Amino acid sequence: MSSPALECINVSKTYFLGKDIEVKALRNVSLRVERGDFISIIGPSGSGKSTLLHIAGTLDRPTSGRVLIDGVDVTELSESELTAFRKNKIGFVFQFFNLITNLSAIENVMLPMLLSRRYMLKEARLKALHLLRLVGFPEDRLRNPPNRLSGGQQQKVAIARALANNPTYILADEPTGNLDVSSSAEIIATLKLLNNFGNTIIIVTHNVELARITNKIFFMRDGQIYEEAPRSFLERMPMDEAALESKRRIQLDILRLERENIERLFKSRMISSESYERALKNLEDKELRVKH
Amino acid sequence: MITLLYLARYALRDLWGKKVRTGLTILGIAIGIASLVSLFIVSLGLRTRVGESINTLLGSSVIVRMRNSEPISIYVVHLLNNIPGVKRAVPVIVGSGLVESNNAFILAVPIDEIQSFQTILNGSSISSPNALECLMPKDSAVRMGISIGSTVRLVTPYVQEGVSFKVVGLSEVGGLLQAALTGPASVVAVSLEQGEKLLNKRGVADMILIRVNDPSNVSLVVNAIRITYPSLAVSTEEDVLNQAQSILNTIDAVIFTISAISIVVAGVGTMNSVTMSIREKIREIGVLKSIGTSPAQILYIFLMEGLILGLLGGFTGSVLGIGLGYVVIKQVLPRMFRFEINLPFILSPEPFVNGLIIAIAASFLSSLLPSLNASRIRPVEALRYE
Repeated sequence: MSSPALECINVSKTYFLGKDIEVKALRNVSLRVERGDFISIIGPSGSGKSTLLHIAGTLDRPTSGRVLIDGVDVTELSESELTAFRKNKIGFVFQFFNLITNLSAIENVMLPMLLSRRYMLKEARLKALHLLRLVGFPEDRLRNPPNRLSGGQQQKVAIARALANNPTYILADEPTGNLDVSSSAEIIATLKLLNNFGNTIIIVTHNVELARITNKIFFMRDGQIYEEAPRSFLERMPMDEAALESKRRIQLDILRLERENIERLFKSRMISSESYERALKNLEDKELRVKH
Repeated sequence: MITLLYLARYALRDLWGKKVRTGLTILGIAIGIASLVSLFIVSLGLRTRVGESINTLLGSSVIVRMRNSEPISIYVVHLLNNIPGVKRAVPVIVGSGLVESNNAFILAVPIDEIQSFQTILNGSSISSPNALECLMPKDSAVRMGISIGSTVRLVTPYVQEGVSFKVVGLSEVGGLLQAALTGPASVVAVSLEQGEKLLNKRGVADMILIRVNDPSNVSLVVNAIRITYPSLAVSTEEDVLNQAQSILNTIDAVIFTISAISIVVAGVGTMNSVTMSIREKIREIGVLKSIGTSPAQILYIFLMEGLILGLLGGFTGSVLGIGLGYVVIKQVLPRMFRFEINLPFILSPEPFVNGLIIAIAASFLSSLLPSLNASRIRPVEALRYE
């Protein structure tokens, strides 16, 4: 019944540099990402990884082919429809963190929720606090602006921000590319945990270590994509049972907040009963995954 | 609503984050607005003073001159006295000369009419038509060290060796005739008879002031004069006001052209500031768009920056401008020329509100274009921007 989180069908992208030089960044790329997947796309620079990521994030349009997100064909949507779509369906994590410099850590996480107009200020603050706890952000830095946070802390804020509107999937572009080894390990563990809790995550990287924790690895070369055989190994979780249990509780709290929000929206008739049912179903699926 | 407040706060923090640039931009707007507001206040004072003077002078009276600006024969005064409704026709002679080597206007009227032209503050009026006595404006007298009883020498082109007059009274500066007839100069009043000699106008008058019996009959009298003596130009209070008005309008046009230039400069400053803000934030705009900020919201953020600059600049400028207007009216104008200009300082909300509105409109318009460009930035390109 449920459609895949992301489906790219025969996507090509050609850039024109000047009159006669054309660069084929993507050639007939097809990619299917199921809900709950954790995939990585690796490949040398210039292989088309970033282009694919931009197209999957609706930041760019394919020259040909179709892109379906959550069952919706976004290929022909207008710029403003795409803005609304991105806001609710896609979370971005960038290599250079890209936090909003004028906003504090917690405000950065609140911003997408406030932009969506689905959350009241209080709800947004509470959910942001839980999300930051979930990614292990130190609570005494909540009011710090980004320039007074370490790289690892900034990336944690970015991940919490990506999760803010409960997106269909998270797109991470070299999430550890600008971090030291220990911060990288923390971010990798966080992403793994989030996936275990049911979040769909797509990573673009050339860090093989990072790629190894994902469930599926795709290689890109010359604008074409190749799938590697599914990994049989599951990376050991670098986290003890007690810590995991506390994260689990935070995740369940977040899901409860989300359920309260959806119920409020439904009661005040801001969403249809159909999307209410679907959202509830999603939440239940996630709850099941977190509990096991 | 929350979202808009949140984005406004973003704009505010953005400006706060670069205090020097923000401060300088606000200063630029403030200077433009301050010049506008102060000139507005000076012009308001000028209008008020001119209106008052003409009103007190003429009231229901009428001024008669020759159409060709030649002097009028004194015989005409007698003829006009015979027109029904005329209470009295008063001959007036004016001319320029020197008082103790200072420029001055000489006003000569029958001595029993002097007090309707000049308000005497100290001393007395001129005692007889043939007395060598005069009235001086108080401020000029004080400046020249002249007091009641002193003797001053009046020199005109016709009496180059000069004639000594005794100062018998000091009149109010800006006496009644100033604005309407002679402009804002020192006016020395003498008797009509002495004026005829000084200005070589025996048997003629420069103009005739006509008093009517009944103020409601002014237009009848004016018509009678116009029909009987077509070569005379008749002006009523309204005509004089209109003339003065057209001069004031010219002054205003000059004033506001100068101000408009300063507003344009302020607007360009705002535009520059907002454009720089956007340049520095291209990448961040890409991020904002990628997390779901709509083009309209981006537009809102940067328009907000422009508006905040305009609001602060406009407020500062209006306050400064009112202060500057006060200083110009009370300190600068009375000392700048050889004759005094004393204008009333009128504190009304109008210049303040106008200054604020103009500042906000200018900054809104000048930040519109860069903000529109910012809202159209494509996220992919913005994210690639280093």
